[in-house]
Parts: sequence; structure tokens; C-alpha cells
Amino acid sequence: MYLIYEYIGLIILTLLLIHVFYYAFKMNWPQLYFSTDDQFSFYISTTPQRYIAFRLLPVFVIISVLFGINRIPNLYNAGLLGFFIGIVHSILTNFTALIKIRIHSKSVANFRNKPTQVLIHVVSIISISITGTIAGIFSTTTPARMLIPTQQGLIDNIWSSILTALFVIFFYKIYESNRISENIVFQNTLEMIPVDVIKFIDEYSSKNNADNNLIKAIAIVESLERPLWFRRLEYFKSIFIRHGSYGIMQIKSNIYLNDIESVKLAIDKYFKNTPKISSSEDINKIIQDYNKNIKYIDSVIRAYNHLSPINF
Amino acid sequence: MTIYKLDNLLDQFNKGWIKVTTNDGRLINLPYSTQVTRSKNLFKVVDGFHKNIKFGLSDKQIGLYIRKQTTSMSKINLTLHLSSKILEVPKVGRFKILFEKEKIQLGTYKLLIPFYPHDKNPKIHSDEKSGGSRFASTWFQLSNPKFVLKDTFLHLGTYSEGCLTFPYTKNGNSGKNWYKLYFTLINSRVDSHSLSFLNVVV
Repeated sequence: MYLIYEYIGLIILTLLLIHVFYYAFKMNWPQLYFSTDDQFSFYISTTPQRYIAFRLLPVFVIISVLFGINRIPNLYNAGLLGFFIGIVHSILTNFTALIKIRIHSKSVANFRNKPTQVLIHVVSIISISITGTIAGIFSTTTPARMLIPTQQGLIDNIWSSILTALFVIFFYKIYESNRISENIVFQNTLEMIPVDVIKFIDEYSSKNNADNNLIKAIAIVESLERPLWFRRLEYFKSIFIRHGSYGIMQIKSNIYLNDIESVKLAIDKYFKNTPKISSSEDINKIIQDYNKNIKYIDSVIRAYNHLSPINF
Repeated sequence: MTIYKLDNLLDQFNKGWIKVTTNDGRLINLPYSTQVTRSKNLFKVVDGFHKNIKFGLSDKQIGLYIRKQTTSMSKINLTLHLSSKILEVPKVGRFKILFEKEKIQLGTYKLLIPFYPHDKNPKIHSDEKSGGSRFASTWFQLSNPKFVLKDTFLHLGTYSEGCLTFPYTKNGNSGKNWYKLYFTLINSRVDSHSLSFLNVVV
């Protein structure tokens, strides 16, 4: 029979472990749901599978393992506790981010597609809570009981685990120190943008007296925030909710826009006949109507400087 | 025949160069603004040291780096004043240059289209946060049919060993000025091997 304080202890321990897991990766999350400044975040945001795995799998594994070790007997209790942990964890992270977005906190980068940014957090809250529930229920099943040791079994294995953990830390440190430079992240992102889009940016910018490198810099930053797979999801979203920000340039529209259409509209609306860029301040002025967020502008300036030297 | 040029190479990653494989399997470096002709994915170099060499590019590289040459390239004449050691670059500025006077003779030289990136510069010369330039590895060779010139270049550096050295100053404007000079020179042509003239005067 479990006592209430034992449940509370288990909840706190589980939440702590989930927190420690994300802290170990030093993510700028939840303020940003994709980070742009290190190799690991870049790796995660590249495919939906990696992103979902990174957000849900740790919650599932930690809850299943801790509940399994503690052999919570009742399926209903385990599911309810799992749901509770999921909801508390997502309140502490995604919900906090939502509040920050709402109050325009400077610690949150507001990107052009704010509704999608909000939607991601809402979906995360729901999916993490469901994952917590499923993990709790899973911990009471026979396969989980076979896989996960009891408390005593765990203690027996702790000493050998310490050795393993030391190896893991050792390899993680090697991996962590192997961070790639921002320029490689920018270049890799540029190369992920379809070539017909790049060619269109060059040609249409030239026709309309726009700075092609500025358009590419914005495309790089937007593409880091919304990789190709994510933009494809926006197409499906547009079937149900038409209004939104679409394409690589995230232009607001009542109909779906592909990447090229979004570039065309962005140049027509914001970047036609822009003055010659000779300083980062010039970029700041030009981009004001497009997106005023300081962090966003800083990212664009850094991407622009990657493509072509500025301050000349 | 449509002329194309190597474009979009001024980023921090490429630093003004692209490495390509020739049709006989060699790896060569071509600088930004090199003019080429195209037959599907095969290109032929129109100017520079590698003139007439054929090389291939992937569809991705073509999409990123090959653009039609829509405007004619400018022609510029640089002037080097021996007495004051000032290099005059039209529409760009006047720059103090390091060199040994006895090694540079009066006359008209040509600055050749660069044909490989130099790796002699210390890393800091490429660091734009410390007054360097991403184009520090691009050196411009001097040529004159009347004089024997062995490895004489105009380049960014700290001292001269017979070259014309554009002085690097830590945390100064040397990188910015070198970029202005680089960009002006690399977009100029006086013939299919040379970027510009360099008149050395008293």
C-alpha cells in the first residue's frame, strides 16, 4: 500500500529527473522551440521524428522507469500520476513560454508566425500530458515489469551503472566540445533551402532592386525556425485553418503560399527598392516592418554577415 | 555563347573560393567571379589561370553558385606611389602599403586573377572580429613581361618579403579595407588573365 507522501516523493523525483535531462543539454527551450545556435539543437530540429523523440521520449522513459522501479500496483493510480507529472512538467515549461509570449517578454524570440508558435506549445502541453498518462499505464504492464528492475534489483546494479554513467559523461563531454560554428549551421541551412528558391531569390531580388543576401539571410533564419518538414505540415494546417503565415518567408495570407510565392510577396511588400546595405544598422531599419523582434533581427544580421561582409 | 560566373561565394564558409573536380579528376580552386561557359552540368573556365579547363558541378552547386553574367565587368587602374608607399584604388581609397622599395620597379604591372587560396596567413588575419578578413587567403599576383617577378603578390599581411603587403592591424579596419579592395579587384577584368593594371610611379 502506497502512502500519500510516497506518491509526492515520486512525483518530485520524476519531475526533477526530467528537468535534469533537459538541463544537461542546455537548451534555450522552452523560450524557443527550436534553437539555432548549436549542433545538437540543429540536429533535433531537422526532422519531425527527432523533434518529437526529443520532447516526448524522455518523459515517457523517465516516468515508465521510475514507476516501474517503484512497482505502482494500480493501473488507474499510475495513469493518473503520469498525467499529473506530464501536466506539471508542461506547465513549468511550455505554459511558462506561452505566458512569456503573451506578455511579450524579451527572453522569448517572437517569430513572424506567432499563432504557430503558440500552437506548438499548446500541442506540446497536451501531448506531454498524454505521454505521461501512457507511460504511467505502461509501467504497470507485464512487459514493463519484465524490463524494469525492482528497487532492490536496482541497488544491486547501481555500482555497475555508475561505471557506465562515467563512460556516458565522458562521451557526452567529447560530443559537447565538438560544437560546430555558427557559420556551418548557417551554411548547412542555406544548402537545405531548395535551389529553385535560392535561384528565385537572386533573380527576383535583382529585378526589384532588393538585396538578395538580406532575403537569403531571412530565409536562413526562418528555415532554422521552420525547417522544410515543418513548412509542409503548415500546408496540411491550411486545409483546416486557412489564415496563417506561410512559406519560407512566413508571409501572412488567407491562402496557402509555397516558398517561392512567399519570397515574391515578401520582396513586393517589404524589400523592393531597398537602399544599399553598408552596416548592420541598415539591416535593422529595413527589417523593422517585417519583424521588430531584437533577437530575430540579430539572427538575420549574423546570417547576412555570414553570406557577405557588412559594416563596410 | 552564354557566359556564367561563379557567384554567391563571399560567405564565411567558402571565403571567395570553390573547390571543383576537373574532367581529368584533379581538384582545383576557382575564385569568386570566375567566368565560365556551360554545357549541362559541365563547365569550361573562360578566364584566369585555369582557362579552358573543364569541370563538373552537382545540380545543388549549380543552383547555389552559378549565375548568368548579366553585366560587363569594370576595368580599373591602381596606382602605387613608390615614395609615399600609397596605393590608390579608384572609388575605394588610398592605403599605406608595406614593401621593400628596391624590389619594386617603376612601370605598369598587371594583377592576375587569383588561382589558389594561400594558407600562409595566420588564422587571426581571417578573423573579422579582430580586424581580419575572410578574404585574407586571396592573394593577387603581380605580372610584368619586362621584369622577372618571382612570387610577388598584393596581399593582407603583417610584413613584406618582397610582396606588396596590405598591413593587417589587430582590431583595426584592415579587414574592412581589404574587403573593399578585394571586392573591387575581383569584379574587374582587363583581359582574360588579369584583373587590373597597377601603375608604379615615383
